Amino acid sequence: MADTPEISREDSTPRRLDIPMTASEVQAWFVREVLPLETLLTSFLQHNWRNNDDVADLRQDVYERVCEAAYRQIPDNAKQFVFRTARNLLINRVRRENVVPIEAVADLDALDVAMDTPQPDRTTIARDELRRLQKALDRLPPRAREVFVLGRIEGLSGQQIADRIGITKATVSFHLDKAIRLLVDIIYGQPDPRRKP
Amino acid sequence: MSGAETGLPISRAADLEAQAAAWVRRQHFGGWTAEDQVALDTWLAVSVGHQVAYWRISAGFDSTERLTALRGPMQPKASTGREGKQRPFTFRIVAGFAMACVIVAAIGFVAAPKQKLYVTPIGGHEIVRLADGSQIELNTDTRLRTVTSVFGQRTAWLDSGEAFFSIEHDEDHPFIVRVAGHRLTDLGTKFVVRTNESQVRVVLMEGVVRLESDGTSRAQHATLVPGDVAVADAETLSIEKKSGPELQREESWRRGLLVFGHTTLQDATAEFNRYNTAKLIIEGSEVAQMQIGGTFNANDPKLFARATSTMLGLHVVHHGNELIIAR
Repeated sequence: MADTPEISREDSTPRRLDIPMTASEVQAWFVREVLPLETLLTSFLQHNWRNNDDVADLRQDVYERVCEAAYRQIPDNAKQFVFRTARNLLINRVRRENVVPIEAVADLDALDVAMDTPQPDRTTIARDELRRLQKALDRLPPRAREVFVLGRIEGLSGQQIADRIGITKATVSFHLDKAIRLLVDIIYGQPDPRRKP
Repeated sequence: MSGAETGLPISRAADLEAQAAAWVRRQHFGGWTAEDQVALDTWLAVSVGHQVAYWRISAGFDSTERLTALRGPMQPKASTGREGKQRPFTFRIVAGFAMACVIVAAIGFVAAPKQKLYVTPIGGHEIVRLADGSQIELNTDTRLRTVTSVFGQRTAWLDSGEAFFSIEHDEDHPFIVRVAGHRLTDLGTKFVVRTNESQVRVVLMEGVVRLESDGTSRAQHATLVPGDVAVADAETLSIEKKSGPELQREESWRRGLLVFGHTTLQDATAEFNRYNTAKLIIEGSEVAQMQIGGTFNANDPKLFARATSTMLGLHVVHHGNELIIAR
């Protein structure tokens, strides 16, 4: 526990000089294996890092590191690799910033338990994806929801949406972007606003 | 959009996420062009950070596809007095049908009775011979539909890409090309048409062609004579004259060649990327503005990359399916 390596490389050995994986291979792996872990990863980061504002950045860092490694070689066990990377990242941040005692980072045994707990959200997706998506839509702010429904469900372009509801195309873009980001957050299982204050 | 520009300490992840969402929005809500795709590819090539942000947003967005199942029930509520707005929906059905045909058409098959669909992949090149003796030559990444009727109607839709038309004259049945909201009526000619779906570019080699908007874009028209290069979109129409070697360059792709003369690396690599799945990427705006000339094999980006290193002293790095050209 005490002599944790700076960054775990076990899953990326043997290291090679060239880059054997193409972007689309890494992308496929990331979407298939890593993104479904987002709910779990986010709550892991929230529980082990006291500043919630950092969580999105930490998650982005984890994603970048696992994909950099995947470009060398796709890890065999994505879940284990993602959480080991997350844990090492937190430990490094703790050391660097010297703000939280190292014990604040959960040990891997506790983590393993969490990892084996099935994720309720994922089974819900499988069972009734459409209903879940509708619920997600209902959680959007009214304008973002309206604009997204017109675009995605009725198939209008940005310009057509603007003409239809009488706002500028730039405003439509703004609301569409917002809708897309919020929906993606909800789809990958966040945020149950059960956050620490 | 970028937090780095304002100097505010906004989250790096939030900034990347906003950029990724803007890409996905632009891709799905109107007017996505081949140039946009190149710009996106370039942005993605900058860092793994860009890639994961985009992959996450686009995968999440794709999973909302199922929401389109709601389209039926929601239609009555939304369709109050807007008959014209139904088109995107209909269009999607047509597009879906066309997509189903693509697989068949890829081996050169007939799609529907009278209507034929021709599709070339990236790097592809195909010559279509029509019953009337006319010939249409398709360049890389191109989609074309033709309709010929027993009454002698001759129409082609250039949905995307580029094609060279060599049309047999028929006084009573002009050949019509419909492309990006415009109609080209040809009176026995040779010409090249290229479109990115929102814009059309016509180069006339021989004969006479009439170019007009088809009503979905602003009314505008012109009669083109040899050497004319017309560029039109929904709003504007401009015509420029070209002659000799410059004009020949416009159809060099028919021989599988790309001919450059004082062409910026940005434009030259964009051309190569139309023909190849291995993409050329330029690092740095200064490098992008450097100029190059010469004749190259369109399907050999490696050779071109090597030329930039010998002619301009640039460095080439292989990165997966990409060739990165940098100082």
